[in-house]
Amino acid sequence: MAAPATQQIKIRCNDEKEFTVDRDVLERSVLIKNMLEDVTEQQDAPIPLPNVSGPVMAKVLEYCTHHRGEPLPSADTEQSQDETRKRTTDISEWDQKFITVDQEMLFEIILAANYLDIKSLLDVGCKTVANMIKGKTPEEIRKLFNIVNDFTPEEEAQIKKENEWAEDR
Amino acid sequence: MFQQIPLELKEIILHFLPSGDLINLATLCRDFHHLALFHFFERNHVFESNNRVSIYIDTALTTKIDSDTSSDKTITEPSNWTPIPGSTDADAAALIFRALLLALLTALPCTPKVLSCTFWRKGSLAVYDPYEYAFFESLNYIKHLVEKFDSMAGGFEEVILDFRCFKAKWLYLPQLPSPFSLPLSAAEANVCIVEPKTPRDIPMIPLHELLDFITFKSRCRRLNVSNGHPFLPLNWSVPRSAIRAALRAEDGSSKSWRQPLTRLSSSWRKGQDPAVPIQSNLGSNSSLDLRDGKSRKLKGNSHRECKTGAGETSGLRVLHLHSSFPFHITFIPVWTLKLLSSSDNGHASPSGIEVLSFKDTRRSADDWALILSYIHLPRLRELYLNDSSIGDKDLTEFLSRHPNLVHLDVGYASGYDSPSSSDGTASSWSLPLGRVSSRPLLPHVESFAGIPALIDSYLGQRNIFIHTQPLPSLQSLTINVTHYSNNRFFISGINIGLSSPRVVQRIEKLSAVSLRISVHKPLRTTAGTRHGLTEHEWLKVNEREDPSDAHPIQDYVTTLVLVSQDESLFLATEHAGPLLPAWLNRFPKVEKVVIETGDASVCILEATRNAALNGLRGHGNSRRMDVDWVKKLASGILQETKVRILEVNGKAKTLGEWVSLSSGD
Repeated sequence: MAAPATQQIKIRCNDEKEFTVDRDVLERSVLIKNMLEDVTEQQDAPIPLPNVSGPVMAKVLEYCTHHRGEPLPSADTEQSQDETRKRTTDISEWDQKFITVDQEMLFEIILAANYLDIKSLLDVGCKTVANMIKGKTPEEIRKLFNIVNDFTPEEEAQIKKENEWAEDR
Repeated sequence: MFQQIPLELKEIILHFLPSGDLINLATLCRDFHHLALFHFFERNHVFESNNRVSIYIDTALTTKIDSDTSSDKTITEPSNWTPIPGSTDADAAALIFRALLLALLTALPCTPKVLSCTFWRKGSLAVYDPYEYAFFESLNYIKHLVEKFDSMAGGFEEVILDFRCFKAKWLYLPQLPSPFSLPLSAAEANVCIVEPKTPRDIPMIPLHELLDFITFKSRCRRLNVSNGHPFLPLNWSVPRSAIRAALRAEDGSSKSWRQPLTRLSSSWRKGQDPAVPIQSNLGSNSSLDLRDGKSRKLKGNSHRECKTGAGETSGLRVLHLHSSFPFHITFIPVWTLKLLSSSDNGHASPSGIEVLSFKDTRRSADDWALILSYIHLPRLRELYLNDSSIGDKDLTEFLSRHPNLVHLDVGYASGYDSPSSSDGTASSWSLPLGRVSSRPLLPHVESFAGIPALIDSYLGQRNIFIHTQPLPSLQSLTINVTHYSNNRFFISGINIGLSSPRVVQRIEKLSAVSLRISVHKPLRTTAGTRHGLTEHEWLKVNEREDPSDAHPIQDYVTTLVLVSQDESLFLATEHAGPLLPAWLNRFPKVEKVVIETGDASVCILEATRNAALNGLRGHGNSRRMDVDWVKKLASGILQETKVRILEVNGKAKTLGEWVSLSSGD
């Protein structure tokens, strides 16, 4: 079966920024893939993506373009993968370079990947966050993510005791 | 921003984190506390359903050792955990130790005060080689755990190291200690280790290093080393020359503890009080008043003593050595004697041990002669010598060095053969201290337990103690009688073997007299070491049976303890039938009956053995001796002596449980 001519799809982000992208690139996103399948007749109107901003979408498209043509996980394998999702946090070299962004962008990419349902990108993002946490002390993690310690002093004393106890295994 | 992302995304991130980092995350804030702990326990938990127990372990926790394992392991335990020969169940179960101990246990609050470690080993303990035995890996973790508790939570008060083995051909393993029943309770940190084949390249510490650490560097107060197989031969011989060679080879500044205590003994023989020079070593803040229990007050100070004192001083107060492990030639010089001995010349710090118990050590009389000559514990208050072959002379010398003893139990010490005559006069017990008439032997002993010959010797010797009464403080006496002939147990009378007027006179005045009758099948009756009465002697006793000829001691017995380590007691009561009430009537003053179904470890072995032979069925299966049987026996007593069941342990499904019966209205 001959491959159909590459179809161009228009998308519009929440900041009105529009992209025109090859259909197979966009179909890395399960969300958009399903939308396109639902819509039979060709439409010129761009697909609105109210949860993604232009700069983030640019990053996401960069990822999708690089990984275009790779097999998408089928619904079945996706299901089973969810359960046996490997705990390994290895990230390929290109992905690693791609995901080297500031923290805000990292979480935006994660949110976008989640919204657009791009599992592989979501994994890359989450693994990156996990790698940032790995091996760090709680205080370092708090500082890194600007997390407010909302334990009461009593709770903290207790938890500190437990924490000191649990560290250095 | 991390905090603001949706829960499902946080969960994905947590999914990629190893369990150790989850613990860190749990301390960040409330949100992450609940989330991270949930994930942690989702990965590491014990699940029980339909008698099948599944253990889920995050192998990421063990990456230091098993770096090649990438997936989580599920270990499933059959209802009574039957290791199939050649399977890797035991190997896999070893992961539990690493994972659960390090993760779950360390993540819990530091409340446990008791660390109980059971080491299971495939094959025999008898072929133990200190550098091949595979538990070293686990010893590291135990050491680590003790260290952590010491620095964070005041330390374990008690550490129990229990060595057990199982053979692949035994298709039945006891239900009791299984690695799958880890009670993560607040009071006890319970660890069960089934050792896999240990790779050679992992860091390991030998057992004596762990013992050394617990003894001299941790805050541990009580140490209990035991092995659950007293029937298995662990007769490592310890030749004197080897010990002495090892002692000489050992380097170190304080060599004084390596001197045997001959000087001390000789000073005693000269009538000097050995306690004086020894007490002077205890330091200025150690006001010893051992008689009325005030030494407990020392415990507060003694920890500091043990930490700040020059040299290595043990903080141990209670030591149970119920194993031959500590008497392996590897341990004796570097740990056992170092701990147990202290010199009389002030160079070494004396041990603070107050309670000492030896059992199942499998030492020969020669070994004991050597070992006891090194031991001196100036604070010793309670001594339990339930071992078989301590010579009378060695024992008496040892006791003479410990005048502060308050409780003495030499239950199975047997420097004697069978009684030389039917009235139980033991001629072989002689007290070399007979010449010392100025002071009584064991002046502070309040409770004393022993075999009749020993009691006869200590309380009733006619040729010594003319001017002084031996054991003048005695209030409570326990007479240990062992019977190997179970059929005649209840039919015949009990020949206690204490008939000398002097002994009866003493016993009359005591406030508590216990008669402890152990009923055995002649399992341990090996050549040359027959205990108790022969069949012939039993018959003789039976012939003499006459109501007017009651043994006087029986009239004074206030507590009756029936002990059986296998089904012997069961068989005995079954055979006795209607004679049982009449038999019980021979003890008119009995207020309390205790039925002790044996030492748990012995019973486990027995059950194992029978299960292998009889497939858990049949008459010889000691599983019959369960709670129902105890209740049955109790009801037999109940009818005649109106004994009320005070306490039946609801968990007493195994032979090791006790059922205590106490008299009531």
